[in-house]
Amino acid sequence: MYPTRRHVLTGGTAAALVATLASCRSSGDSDGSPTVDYAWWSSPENDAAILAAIEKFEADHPEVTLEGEATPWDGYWDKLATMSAGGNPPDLIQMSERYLLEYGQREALADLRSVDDIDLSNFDEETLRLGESSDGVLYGIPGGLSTFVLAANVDLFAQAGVDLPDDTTWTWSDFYEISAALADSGIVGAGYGIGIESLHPWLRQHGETMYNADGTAAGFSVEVLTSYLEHLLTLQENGGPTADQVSEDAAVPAEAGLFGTGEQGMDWAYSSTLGDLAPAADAEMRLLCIPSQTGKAAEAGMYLKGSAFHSLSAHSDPEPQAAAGQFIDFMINSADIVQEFGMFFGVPPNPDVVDAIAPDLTPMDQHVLEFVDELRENLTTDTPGPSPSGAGNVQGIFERDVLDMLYGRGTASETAEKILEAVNNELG
Amino acid sequence: MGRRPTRDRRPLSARDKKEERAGFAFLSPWLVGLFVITIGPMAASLYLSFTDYSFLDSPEWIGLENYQRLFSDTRFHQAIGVTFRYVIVSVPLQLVVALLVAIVLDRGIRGLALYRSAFYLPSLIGGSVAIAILWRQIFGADGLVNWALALIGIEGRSWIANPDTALGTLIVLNVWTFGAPMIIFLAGLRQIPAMYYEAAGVDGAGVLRRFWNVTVPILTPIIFFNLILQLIGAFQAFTQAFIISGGSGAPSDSTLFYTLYLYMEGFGNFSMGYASAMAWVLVVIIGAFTLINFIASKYWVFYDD
Repeated sequence: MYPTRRHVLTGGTAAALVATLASCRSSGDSDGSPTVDYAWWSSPENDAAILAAIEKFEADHPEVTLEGEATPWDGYWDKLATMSAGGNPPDLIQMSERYLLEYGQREALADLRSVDDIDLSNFDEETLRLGESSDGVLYGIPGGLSTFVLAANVDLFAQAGVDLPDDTTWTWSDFYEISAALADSGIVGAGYGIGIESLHPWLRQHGETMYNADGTAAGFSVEVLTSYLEHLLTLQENGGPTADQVSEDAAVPAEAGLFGTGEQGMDWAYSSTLGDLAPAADAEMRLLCIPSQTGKAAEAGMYLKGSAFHSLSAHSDPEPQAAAGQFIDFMINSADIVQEFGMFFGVPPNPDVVDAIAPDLTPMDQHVLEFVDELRENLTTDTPGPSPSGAGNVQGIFERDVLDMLYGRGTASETAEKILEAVNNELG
Repeated sequence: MGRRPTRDRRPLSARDKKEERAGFAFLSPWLVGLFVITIGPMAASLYLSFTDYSFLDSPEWIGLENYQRLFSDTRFHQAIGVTFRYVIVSVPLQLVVALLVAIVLDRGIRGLALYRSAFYLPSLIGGSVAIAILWRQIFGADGLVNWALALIGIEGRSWIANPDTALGTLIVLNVWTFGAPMIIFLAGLRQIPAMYYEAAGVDGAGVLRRFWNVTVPILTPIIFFNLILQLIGAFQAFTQAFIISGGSGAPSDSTLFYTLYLYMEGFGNFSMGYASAMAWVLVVIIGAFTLINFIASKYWVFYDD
């Protein structure tokens, strides 16, 4: 009887919990009926839309069979790494900006410009740069565009008797003041947005970048990082959540967190998530530009981010790869398909498609669309390319060390030293 | 640990050889499993532990570099600290609870089978996803524990979210899954002849005296067996921390078990070579602990044969 050992084994299988959605079908090889393996990270809404897209594509291309495999985010990357190591990667891969170069630079992903049938004529340079290496290889095309900004729960502002700020002119001290005023009404003021996405604009505001030019080290100084951490501590004094609340929030999906359940007035969020957050909190919500040092939104360092990239394995046979290319074209250029997804991954990058689906969007999605469109015109910051190899763990470093600091286990400058060293270790 | 009989080394006759072949044929399913599923991957991981292997590239020999890196990796030291604390606190606690419950059940209460199953149940679900949710309901800010504390006027905090107490909740979880050692203890208790207790009773020994001077000494081989098993299991603990911390060792690495860090380095960070080196260091650690216990056992384990 070795029950403990058995625990470990069952645990392993639980960890690799995988929902295989498509039934097994006989795989056709090079007889003109290719089978394309397609892997994506799953969520209920996402899965339904992708399966619908697969069905439509197969109806149009009866010779092609798409075998989909959906895995929850956490297990997805382990599984993709294992499949790649075993020489059996999926043909069609949903990629995150964080891992695009990790795989691309190890020659696991195909250059999408070299694949026929993917029509990129409607995509501007900015959009394509999101999935491009510095030497111009296109490893992925974003399924949607979003930006990481502040979201405000309009109902809670009203209840607290606090006016919504003019987000084109507000500064950080306005931000602290509003957060503190919200907290006075018995709710939590504003969240910290701990990590890469909120640090990024802060660095821009101080003339620094997240990574150095060749992606081998952090691009910021310990002084500016310290100022960012001090800013978080200032917020903690001004209505920010307690360390316990941050820790509990980190363990649940956004919809179940403080902001998602209507207990917090403002939080950092991807613009694309507002469509899910607003109904969860049962409140009206608005996106706000990030505060700046100078009171000019154009100097706030906001930037566009791509999500749910479509990528192709570099190791596929020609036939499945060509069919997978056709599917990507379908996913990015067919209004009929994008309709299925709506704004789930953010604003669809093809403007023609956006025009086609805009009339059917919910009011919340239309607000997000307008916000991102306006931002796109006023962005002064260059769109950053994909994160460098090794960046996959950087977010985890911030979450760990900032939480420690919020618990009072280190000063801002000690924490900054620790984070900088850890980040450089990951990238080096 | 009996004496091994000396083997007779006479040459094999044709018939013996045939029998030997048949023997191996019958063993083959097990042998295939041993070589393909156990020894093969172990050898591969030993080789990989001396390489820089990112999963996507082919491995590159770097000698002892991975092992040297362990000395300066502060996260690795954190993982060692967390794991040792977990092992040292949870294993003895779990054995004590298992033994006490086994003794109570051994009294011959009615519905023994039912109780035995009920106490064993947590061991079956201890590593399941449901536990992650249950544990948050119990140890969260609005959880059961704080509700109970509020009744007696104490304001609790989020036990599972706080880095100071998060590991404690995992220790409680491990202690709670005491079913397996309990069953083994129960079987051991059943084998103690009643005449020892009767004799001790005649000599005027009370309940405690009988426990310390009869039950415990006779049970030492069973205690030792359970200790070794639980020790090895606790060093390899993975599932609970993986599920409850969402695979990150959160909050603030306070539940970063050795195997969890190993897994994160290997599968999250593409450092398969480094993860393999860590795996071999863990083999050495567990081996050393087991060896120490076997040596120490000579002084406290009593074999009644």
